[in-house]
Amino acid sequence: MKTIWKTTILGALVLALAAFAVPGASQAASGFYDGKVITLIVPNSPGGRMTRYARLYGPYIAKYTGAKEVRIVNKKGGGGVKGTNYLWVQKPDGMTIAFTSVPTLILAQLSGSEAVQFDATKFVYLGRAATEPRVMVVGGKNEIRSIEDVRNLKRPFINPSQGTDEDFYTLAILADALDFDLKIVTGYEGQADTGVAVIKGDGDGLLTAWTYTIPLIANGDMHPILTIWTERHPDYPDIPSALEIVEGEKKAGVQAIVNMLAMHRGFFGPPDMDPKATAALRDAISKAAADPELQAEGEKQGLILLPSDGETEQARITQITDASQGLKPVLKAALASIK
Amino acid sequence: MKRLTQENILAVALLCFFVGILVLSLDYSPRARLVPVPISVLGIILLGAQLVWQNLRSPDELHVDMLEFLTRRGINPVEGAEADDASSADQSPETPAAPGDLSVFSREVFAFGKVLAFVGLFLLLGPFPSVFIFTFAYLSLSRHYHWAKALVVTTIFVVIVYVLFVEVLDIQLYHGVLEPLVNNY
Amino acid sequence: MIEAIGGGLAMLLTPQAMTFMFIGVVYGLIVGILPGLGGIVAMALLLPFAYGYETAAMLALLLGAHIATIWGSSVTGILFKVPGAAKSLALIFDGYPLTQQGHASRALGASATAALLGGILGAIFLAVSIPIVRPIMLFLGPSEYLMMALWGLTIIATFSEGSLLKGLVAACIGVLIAFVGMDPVTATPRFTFDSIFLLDGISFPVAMIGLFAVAEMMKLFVKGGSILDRDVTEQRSTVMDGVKDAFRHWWLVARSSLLGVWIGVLPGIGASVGGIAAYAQAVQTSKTPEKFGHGAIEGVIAPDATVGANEGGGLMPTLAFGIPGGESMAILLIAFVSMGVTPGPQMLTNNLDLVFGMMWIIVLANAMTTLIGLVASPYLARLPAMNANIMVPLVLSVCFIGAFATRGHVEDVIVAAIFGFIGYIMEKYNYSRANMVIGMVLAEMIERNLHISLTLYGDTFIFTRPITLIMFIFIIVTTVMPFYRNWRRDRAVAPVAGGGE
Repeated sequence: MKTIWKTTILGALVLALAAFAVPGASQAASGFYDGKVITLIVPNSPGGRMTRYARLYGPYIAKYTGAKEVRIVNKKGGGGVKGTNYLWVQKPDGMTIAFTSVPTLILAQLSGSEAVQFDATKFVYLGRAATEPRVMVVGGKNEIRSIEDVRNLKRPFINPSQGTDEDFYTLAILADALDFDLKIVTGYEGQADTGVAVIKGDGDGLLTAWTYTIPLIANGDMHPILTIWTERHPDYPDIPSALEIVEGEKKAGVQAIVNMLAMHRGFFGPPDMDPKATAALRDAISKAAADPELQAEGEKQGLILLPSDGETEQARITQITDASQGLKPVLKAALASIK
Repeated sequence: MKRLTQENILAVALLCFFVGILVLSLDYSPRARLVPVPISVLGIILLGAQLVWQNLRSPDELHVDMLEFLTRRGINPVEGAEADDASSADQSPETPAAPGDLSVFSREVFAFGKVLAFVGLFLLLGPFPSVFIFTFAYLSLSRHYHWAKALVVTTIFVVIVYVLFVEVLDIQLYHGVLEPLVNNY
Repeated sequence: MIEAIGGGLAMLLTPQAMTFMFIGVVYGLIVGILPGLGGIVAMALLLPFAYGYETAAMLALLLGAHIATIWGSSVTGILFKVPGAAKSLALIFDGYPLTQQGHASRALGASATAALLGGILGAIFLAVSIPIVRPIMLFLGPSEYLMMALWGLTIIATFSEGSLLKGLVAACIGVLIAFVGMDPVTATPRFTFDSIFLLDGISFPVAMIGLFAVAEMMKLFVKGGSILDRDVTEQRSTVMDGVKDAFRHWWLVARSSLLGVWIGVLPGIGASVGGIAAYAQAVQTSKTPEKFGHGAIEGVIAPDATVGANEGGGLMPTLAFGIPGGESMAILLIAFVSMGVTPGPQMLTNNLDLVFGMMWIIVLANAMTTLIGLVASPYLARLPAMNANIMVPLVLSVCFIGAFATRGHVEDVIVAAIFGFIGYIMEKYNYSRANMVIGMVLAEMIERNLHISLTLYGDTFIFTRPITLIMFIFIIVTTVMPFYRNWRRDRAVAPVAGGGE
């Protein structure tokens, strides 16, 4: 038994040494993490975009914290919930943090998903790597040309959907705030499937990331009607943003969802994380984001960067927590509508 | 145990599976059970028919069915030769005579046990130590190789698999239940 | 146009691009041969190394690896009944029996050649069909996809000889197993028993590893010897026989390639359906359908041609609308974005040479894979003759690590073992495992599209959508035909032979 262990471990060590020659690992900064290993949990697939962002940031977080290594561990499952459940019970010593889509987690929790064992508002938020505006589009040939048309529609607005992701819930909240009838058709498989359904007219429109719609809008296959963002998008100054057109008591809810979406690809740690670790990590993530080398590499990989610091992200959580009670019934109703 | 009895046990077990699915499905919303309910009902009906069919056929027909079974899968039915017999090395066992039901059964139990043992090792120790132990044990206990040669073959194999999965494919390792005890995390 | 075709080829004929393609192909073959991992993993892993090189080289590396995984998966399916990826599933139905009968070389040769021909024909079909892709994609919808899935179910009968009842039971079990996990339509966790692991469902590659590979190793252990038939002492045919087979069945290859292209084009149909659809098509158009499942070479050629042609199809949603057709295409498009080309229909006017460059990569990478494959096949074909005492531990080890590697969950190893037990029992008592996996593959496609059709088009959609109705009638006719033919033949034979069966 012992010899076997030794052989395997020895073999593993030799190979691991050859593999893990991390560039620029020393260049210590704050001292808290000197020579330590930070585990970065990414609850998404190893080949996916989220992991690529994590791999981009990892070496730079190590560089600016002075840590020996940022070890990325994929714990995929349950739409990010599985890995996040795991983080929830980790020691808050700053050695284990996570990186994933924050709105997905908050919405999974608010909608009452049985799998959620965490409280997303209690995590310590460390910074954001990227986010991008989401936009509501309709088919190019659709009679609907503006968000006003949607509100005046005499029938439900049909939305082909891939399932209960953040776009699903966001649209439900918008429908409630803007007071239009919404019929979400679930069962589509992936973006191509929902996109074609909207273009051919099986569905009216959908909500998606801005970059995804660029060729479709340019081509006339889709037409933007609303930006889900704090302001209008510079490329389409005539398209209103959701926050402009919602008035009254519903505004807090829309503000909350805008805040959530703004937190998109974010780093966070377990609740009550060591303040020293929190400060060191927030600092390191901000510095990493400002590093021209990281920016150049991100651009080369086609990874859009839109960083934001940990304090800003933490402040968003407060607003979301305040407004979330009002959102719960809307989210539950949306879920019930597809049962 | 007679073949018919075995068939009946399996059919009843499957029947229970379908009934269980049906009962679970009835709790779901109408859309969520739209497909599972008809499929499980279909399964129950099919198995009911199968049970009646296999029990009511005359012994003659049953015999024909068995013969068909034996000829079509002529190569598959289990042949003799002890599990750990060195004579089974290199050439196929030359024992066409059908062995007793018991020996087949015991070999099947062995096969299930081996897979279970391997999975157990895997959970406890993680992939590579368990592959090492399992392969080495299998090669040396089956006396296919002398233990020293088995050790060499196993080591080469484990290194190849390690390089392929961990280096080439960048698989993150699972360290087994025992690792925290060893490492104290 | 001609200029663009030439330009696309010229772009690739640089030493760097060709070297990168070779590296990609070799890497892809390795990934393909290991169970549980597919082309997307290969591309994602190569991506970081690809940055900074010229676009042609980057595309050649990524797409080359993706193409090569396809044939790599077929190899293990044919030799060990271990389908390397879901799309190669159909290869084991006839490929493995061929191996058992001592025709492994021939099966590998046919498979590699069919994949090459499929790749070439697929690229040609694609180039020709660029103008009609858009209208057809907009023409077919969920109700038609539903009919395609139902058509796939008709091959259940092929694997049900001996007992149609048991065959149908197996398919029902497969359908229900596919429903474990979060239901994509209503977000209901079904049959999960509150387990978060089961929320993601039973991983299809893991279940296949268990059902076929683990079960086969258990059987081999019980039986002893090797997986070859006992009277097989040497290879009974050569790789060249297989190559000739593929060319002899050129019409089947052409049909299968066309099918593959369209399955790739249509966004609602997964690639794993492709191999099964190709198999169904081969069975239903064959003059000797009863040979399928017992080592019909057509059963190897058709699925390989289809999956070979499938890849290029995934390019189409991008060219027609600017929507990435699938995960693999999304990774490839990163290469475009990084060089400032916006993926979309405007590529057909502005970057046509890039489009043809991709098609050339598909053709050349297929050719490279096939060349390597044909050279390696005679050696690979010797592997199944290994003694059980070596085969069992080695294959089991690779299978369990592969099961673990698919998602990085150790629970998947347990799932593989459980499915191994299920597979062994099903095989022993003649419940078709092939039917079970066909049920698993098609269940989700059927359920998704049934729900969408009902919601969008109402309860009577079969009769209100003309194309759907035509497809529905076609399914009924093609299902009943073989039975009718058998019945007529039996009636003709009966007076002479004195009894059916």
